[in-house]
Formats: sequence, C-alpha cells, structure tokens
Amino acid sequence: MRFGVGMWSAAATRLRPRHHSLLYDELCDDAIRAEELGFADYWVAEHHFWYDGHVSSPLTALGAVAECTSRIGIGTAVLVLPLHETLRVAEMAATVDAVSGGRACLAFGLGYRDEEYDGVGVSRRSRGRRADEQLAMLDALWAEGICEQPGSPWTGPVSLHPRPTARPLLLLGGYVPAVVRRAARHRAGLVLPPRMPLDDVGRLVETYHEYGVELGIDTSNVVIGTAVDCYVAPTTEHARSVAFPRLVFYYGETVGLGMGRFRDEEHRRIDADRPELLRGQTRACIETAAVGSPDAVHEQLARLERAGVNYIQLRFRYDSLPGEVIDTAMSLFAREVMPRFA
Amino acid sequence: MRFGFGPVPAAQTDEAAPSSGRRACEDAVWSQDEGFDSIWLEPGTQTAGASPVVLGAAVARAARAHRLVVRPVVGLVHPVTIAEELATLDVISYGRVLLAGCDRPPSRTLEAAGLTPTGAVERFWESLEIIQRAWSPEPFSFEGAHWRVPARMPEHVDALKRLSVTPKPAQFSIPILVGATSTESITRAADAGLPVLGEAWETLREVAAKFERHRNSGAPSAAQRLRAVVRDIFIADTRERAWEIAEPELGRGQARDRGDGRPLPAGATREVAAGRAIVGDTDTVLEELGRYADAGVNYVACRVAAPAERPELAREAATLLGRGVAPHLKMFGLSDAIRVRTLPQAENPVLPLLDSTI
Repeated sequence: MRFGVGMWSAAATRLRPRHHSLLYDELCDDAIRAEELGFADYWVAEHHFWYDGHVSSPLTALGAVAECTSRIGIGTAVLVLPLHETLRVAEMAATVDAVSGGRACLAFGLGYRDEEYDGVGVSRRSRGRRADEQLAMLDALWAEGICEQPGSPWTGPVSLHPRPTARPLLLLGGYVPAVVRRAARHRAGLVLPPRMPLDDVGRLVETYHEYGVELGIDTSNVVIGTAVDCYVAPTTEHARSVAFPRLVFYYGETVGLGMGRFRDEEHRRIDADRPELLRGQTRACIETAAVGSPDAVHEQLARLERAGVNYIQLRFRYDSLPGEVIDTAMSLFAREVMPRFA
Repeated sequence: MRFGFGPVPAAQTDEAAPSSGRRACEDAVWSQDEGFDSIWLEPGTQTAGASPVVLGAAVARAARAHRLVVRPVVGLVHPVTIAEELATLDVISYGRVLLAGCDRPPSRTLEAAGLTPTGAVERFWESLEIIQRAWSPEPFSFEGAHWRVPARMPEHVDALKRLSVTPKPAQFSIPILVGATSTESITRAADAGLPVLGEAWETLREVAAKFERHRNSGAPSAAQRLRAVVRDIFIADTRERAWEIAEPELGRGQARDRGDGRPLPAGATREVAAGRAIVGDTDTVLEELGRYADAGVNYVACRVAAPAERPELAREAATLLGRGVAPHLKMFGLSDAIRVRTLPQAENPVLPLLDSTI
C-alpha cells in the first residue's frame, strides 16, 4: 500500500479567507512537508468558477511544486481532461516533468459540472468520447512524440517537445463502470473519489480486473487508488472534534452549494433552499472519512486494502484547517499509521 | 534603459528534457543576481509550444525578485483557460507577471491549426479582450466572432449566465505588451492603450517605425512609456569569440522565430543578423545599445542563447551584460569621469579607492 497527499485545492472560503498568494505558498509548504514525511506523491485538484480560489490551473501550480521538491511524485488529481486542449495538457505536463526531473503523475477525470464545461465551450455530453480521443492522442505523443491526427483545433500533425523521459503514471478518476473500462483500455490505473461505500469500492476493483482479463491486459501491477478524507489525532474523540465541523462545512458549502454535487432522486440540485437534504448529504459524506486515532484510521484503511486498493490519496487539508493542525495530523499518520502497511 | 533576460524557451529542443527545466530555473536565478529585472519565457519551437506558464511558476519560486514576462500563444486555446493560467502564475509569484503576447503564432503553428495570419490576428484580439474581462473584479459574458463566453449550450442546464474566473491576478490587472506584427495590431494596441513590443526578427529600423506608428495612432502617453524590444545579444571578451558563439545560435533563433524550423542558408547569418542582433565585445554592445536608445528603445529583453552543451556561455554573457554593459546605460546623466570602465586604469580616480577583492 502506498500513500499520497491530495487532493490539494485552494480553499479560502468565508470560514478562513486568505490572500490567494498565501494559498499557493501553503501548497508548496504542504508538498515539502509531505516529501519530508515520506509520502509517495502529492496531488493537486481542479475546479473552476468558485469564489474560494479553487485551483483552476493545476499544472501551473505543479510548476511551483516541482521547483520546491526533489523526490516526491507530483500530479493532478484530478485534472478534468475534456475541458482542456490535449496538446496543451501534454506540453504542460511535460514541462512539469522536465522541471521536476521526471516526477510528473497524471490523474484525469471527466468532471460533472455544467458550469465548467459551458465556461470553456465544450459539451459535457461529449466528455466520454472526447476523453477517449484525448487519451489516445496523449499515448501517441508520449510514445512517438508525434500525433498524426490530433483532431480539433489542429488540422495537421502535432509534435511534443519536450517529451517526458517515460510515460507518466496515469490514473483515471471516477466511479462508474464506463470510467473503469476506459482506465483498463488505456492501461491506466484508477483513483476512486472519496465518500464511496466500501462495498462499492470492492465491486469496482473487481470490475476493473475483469475488464483487464476481457481486454487481455495485465492489471496485476496497476495502481488502484482511492481518495480518503483523513485526520489523525491521539484519540478518535479529539480527531472528530477537529475535523468533522470543517468537513461538514467543506462538503456543505463547497461540494454541495458551490459544485452542485448533491442531487435528489430526480437529479435536481440540492441547494440551500432544502437545508435538511443538504445536511443529510453532508453527514453521509463524512461517514467514510478516516478520522480517528491511529488504530481507528489504520483499521479503516486496512479494510480498503482488503477490498483491493493499493494506493490511498489522503486529503488532510479541507477548508479552514490551519497549517500547524494539518502538519500534526500528517506527521502522526506518517509516524504511526503508514509504517503498519507493507 | 532597463534589461530583461531571455526569452528562455520552455522547450530546449536539443536538450534532454530532465535537465532543461531545472537549467531554466538556475539561469533565472543567475540573471537575477546579475541585475536583470525580468525573465522572459516563451513557448518552444513546436506547434503551440511548451509551457512558459509552468516554467514561470517554477522560476517564480526560484527567483524571487524577477518580473516574469510570459509569452504564451494567445488565440488558439480558449481564452478563459489562458486567463486562469496567467492569473494563477501571478498569484504564485505575488503579482510579478507581465503578458507579452504576439498577435500571431509562428508559421508552423498557424499551419498546424489551419489558420491564416489574418484569422490568427483576429482571434488574438478577441481572446485578449476576454482575458482582460476575466481578470476584472466582476463576472462577465462575451459574444464575438470566435468565442462565446459562457457558451450557453442548451444541454448545460446549470450553466452560468456570466462567469467569474478565479483566481484573480494578484495585480489589479496583469500588464500587457503587444507583439504587433501588422499595422492593424499597432493601431488596435494604441486604441486599447497598450504598449507595443519590438520582436527579435524585426530590424531596429522596423522597431523604430513601429513605435512611431503607435505614437501617431494616438497611443496615450502612458502606453508609450515602455518601448521594449527582444534582441539576440551575443557578447564575449572579443568580437571574434562572440561571433563564434553567435553564428549557429542565430540561425536557430531566427528559424524558431519564423516558426518553420528551416535553418538559414550558409553565409546568411550575418546578413540576417544585421539590425536584428547585437554581437561583439562589451564596447561593441554598448555602442549598439546606444543606437537603440537613440532610436527610442528603453527596454531590452536580452535573448542570450548558448549551445545546449555549453550552458556556461549564457551565464558568462549574462555577467558581461549585467556588469560590463547595463550599468553604463543605467548611469544616465552622469559625467564621463564617473564611467570608470572606459577610463584607462592609470587615469581612473576611483579604482585605487576600491578594495581589490570587489
């Protein structure tokens, strides 16, 4: 089992508003600390058009992280691939790889917000097909340095300079069978989102391996990851007192209201005009968080390992937790939980 | 006169990828220590180019004083994406970004995108309008010939009517220089109150004419204050050595500027370089830059290139420029007696007072 730190996103909500330059300093400070503590990778998320300063250009942010670290893998989790022009993604990722000395990792997702797709003029309905085309183009650029038929906006072949020295670690994020199949088809690993019930995690992992067999692909050494909200403290009671209020706010304000993630059975957004439904959804989100004592967190993550997960992306920073509080939790995890896993 | 360093191409085509990015950061720190006040970052030679903003973010962490003059290709990818990237870089760098956009990309990129030069220029100006609106404090919408923001596609049920792009730049708005390749662009820059930039492939005469046209098009005085040019500068301890370094690099640089990848014909380098590059020892470079000052140039982005296998030559050149040339052009209005470098040592009243270790 390997552990990374993610999904870092700028979060200067009204609970703890800060100048956005300070957020990116915190990004780099957290990355340096994660490297010191022995985490495998550091991941930056992407979202657009939300007031808290959410990272809208994760590869740009990774340029800064590349300079201030030297060993830890650095990556996007997730970059919403269909929102972007593919060659640009390839070039930016290759530049991250060049500055970092070959440490770039890429986790892509398809996103879910109409606002984000509409903002850059891409139809959300086409995201699956578009992602397939983009992944094929990226593979061609990484393998050969050239793509003969790149598609719009290009009418002729395009080439990639600089090329990464090796194919970056590639993961696809999502939780529906189509994403899992796409990951297997493109020889990518998986990163499942947080808040997934354990049984669902196990089922998707099995599905991934089944698709691998069907497609004749060896999936035995692939990264099967999941993201988990985490906070570790000497006692579970203390951990919950620190983390839960902030997680509730984060899920309610950012994920629910800002990102429109919560839907009712008719797929209508659950907004502030239905507070009980919003609160219910937020409470459900924190039930899968790994918040507790080292023993409790270890047990929870061990269950994921038994379900077939071999990589966990831990989110320690959600909204307004001060840096020293996050550092305490990260350090305790590195010292008392991480070593228990092989 | 003030001096910037670069452009540093984000992709060094002859260089193995893992070292190129790190070298760019080290060169940035070096140039900062030699007194240059900005670093210029441009795409690589291929198609849309490697990423000056990613490199800029790394340089921003490494070199804490430099202004970051970024030259992404504007007009090909969605302008909201460009606005976000540049704002993110500006936030990372605590407000040190300047956008120096060329109104059309290199010819190879144009060809790969199936664009005409005229079409590219139109897309550039429309994109620039959107980028500036995206940086403003209020949400916006835009409808033009090439872009509609937000797109308002019928299938997007939750689409916004106006966008607020975040983050906003740390600066109130990122300053913009326009690499105007056409009369139309010079006029539009004047109308928009934006300064124009002399490009590396333009002769000094062409640059001076551009500044004059910009002025005559009614550019406000504030937009005329910065009269910058990108220049290939090859400086060494002797003119001969400077030309030895310059010849192959000039050919590569000019091919990159033209964007077609074709090297110059044999023997054509010096002819093409005339009026476009400055090659020589410190005296020669100083004299040439004096002519630039007379022509109205007050900012030079010194494109100091070196073979990939001899990166130390770029640093030597940066040192010669930073210590042997730039101070004299900054000593404006002082008497010749104070320009100590040009006086023979025996006549120099100041040198004996200096500690020999300095």
